[in-house]
Amino acid sequence: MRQLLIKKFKFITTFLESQMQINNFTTIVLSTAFLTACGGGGGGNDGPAPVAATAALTSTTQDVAAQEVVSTALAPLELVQTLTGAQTTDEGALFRFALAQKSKLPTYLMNASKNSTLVGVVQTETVACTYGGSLYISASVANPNGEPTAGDSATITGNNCVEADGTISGSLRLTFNSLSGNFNTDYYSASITLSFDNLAIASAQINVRANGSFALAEAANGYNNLQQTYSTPSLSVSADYAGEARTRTLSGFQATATRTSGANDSYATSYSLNGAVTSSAMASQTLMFNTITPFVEFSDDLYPSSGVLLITGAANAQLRLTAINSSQVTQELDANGDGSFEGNKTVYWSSLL
Amino acid sequence: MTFGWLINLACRRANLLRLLGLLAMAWSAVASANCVDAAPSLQAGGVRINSVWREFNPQGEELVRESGTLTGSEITAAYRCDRWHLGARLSDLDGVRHYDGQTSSGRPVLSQSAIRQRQADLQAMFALSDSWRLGGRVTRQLLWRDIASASGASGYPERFDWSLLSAGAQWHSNFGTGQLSLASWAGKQLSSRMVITLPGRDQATLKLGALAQLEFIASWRTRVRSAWFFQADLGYRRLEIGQGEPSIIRRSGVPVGVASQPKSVMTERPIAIHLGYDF
Repeated sequence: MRQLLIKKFKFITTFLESQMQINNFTTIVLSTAFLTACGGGGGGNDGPAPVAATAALTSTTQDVAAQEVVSTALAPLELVQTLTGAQTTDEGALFRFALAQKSKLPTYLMNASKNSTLVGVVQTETVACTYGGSLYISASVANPNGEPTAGDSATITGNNCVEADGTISGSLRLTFNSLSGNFNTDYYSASITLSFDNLAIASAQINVRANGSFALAEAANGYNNLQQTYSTPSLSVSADYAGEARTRTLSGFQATATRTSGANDSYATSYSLNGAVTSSAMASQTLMFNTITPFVEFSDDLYPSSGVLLITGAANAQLRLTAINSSQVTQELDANGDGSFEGNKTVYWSSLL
Repeated sequence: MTFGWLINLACRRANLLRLLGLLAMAWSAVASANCVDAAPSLQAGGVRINSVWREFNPQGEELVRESGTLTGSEITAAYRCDRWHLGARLSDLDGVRHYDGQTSSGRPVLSQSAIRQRQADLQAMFALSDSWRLGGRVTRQLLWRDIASASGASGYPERFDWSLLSAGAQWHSNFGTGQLSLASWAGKQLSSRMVITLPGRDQATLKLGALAQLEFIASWRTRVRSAWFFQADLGYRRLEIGQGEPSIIRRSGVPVGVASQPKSVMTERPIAIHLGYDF
């Protein structure tokens, strides 16, 4: 019975991954939460939200502010990938690794279940990496040979593990929270928590590190009908680009995303995101953001064609971003916080993400 | 300040300047020589190149394969003074290569790249005998590659700029009314770089790895009327570009990633038809 459920869960996970590849929606939101979360240092998991001064919003800082907030908080759009000509690497390398491991969680749990006869025993295995080294998997199942239960988890630790993006160190913990529904159809619900403990990928080109966690809950209610919720108290990613450091932290982040099917396999995805971003590009100061009108992105587009995001800085200064179409955004600034937007400009989505 | 800038420029371009100096000396020596047997010529024609471009990761796995046809024209000026043979060539080609590659996250994608290629050569050869010549050549090439967006992944333009110093040998012999010549060249880079503009990012300049080129050319020339002649060239070129160094990619000055040009191999098979005139 347990193995059957694990197979079903694996099917769902595979389905989710395919959905992400199809429309990048999940990846985007996940990427958002992932990228935003941690900030810097420390090896901790969930911690208190960083105490940082609120950043000023002026005509001088508005562009960087918009870019940092949108690229972090609206990461769903970051699913717009580039074609390989030159090879590019960024914090997304951590995200890709986490997603790949998430899809393997059922396998890790199944292996642990097969090899475990005692309740609560932690099973370990070693998985070889593509270009050398290995991943050390430590899986804990509460109910061997039975159904997966809340709290089953797998911790993946890098051991000189070399993959295409670099050498992996630190650990990623995947905790299974719940699973239900008819998994052989598009009807199910699942919940997983991803915890980053100094998970790092390093190469000659880049050194990125994540700390923190986020919870991901998904409910499918038919083909291309999917609802997702992401939340994290704090998740941060620090990066060193050839000696230049960058840190971004997402605090109090809550995102919901809903995909609804349309004609001829098309679909529309709407989402709203709320929280705060702290970035080294803003002198390690913080900006709050909240979605006024949910963004809507159609399956044939690279970016949302409607939606409004409000960014709030020091002294109640505000920056309002309104999607004009699937390629452009209006950026309006109320620098003195009087409620009147005295300046506006039009920018491309590609410059924000 | 200005003086320092000039010194820096001179140092950076030292190899190129030395080579250009040598070529200039050779040209001026020939020009000032009292040639007993002098023969300038000019030829122009069309070129068609089968071009294949491949990129590899550090582990040697192929990331991208592009293939297509470039067409265009080229013009060549030559001057023979006794045993010296000097030449200059300009070519301008464009076309499309079909792209079979992947996205930045490794997802397979099919697309296409618009290519434009401009090349200039200066060469000097010395006749060792009636059949053999040895010489050197400087090549400057500009290559524009505009990868089209596809399958939810954004393309972007790249501009390669490199110069090569080559040494070569040529053998030729008369057969009936025509002349067959076979030439081979081996070249190393003098300078190289690539300018890239990723979507929504600041323009960045990437350093390329070491360049090395091998080229073989077979030519058949036959006289069609008094001073006029016809020439057909069939060639093979293989240019290897080493793994480039990473460069920071910025957005409005803020670092957001790194990029490097992977090891790349360009293989070209040119066919050229020329009509020329001996003055």
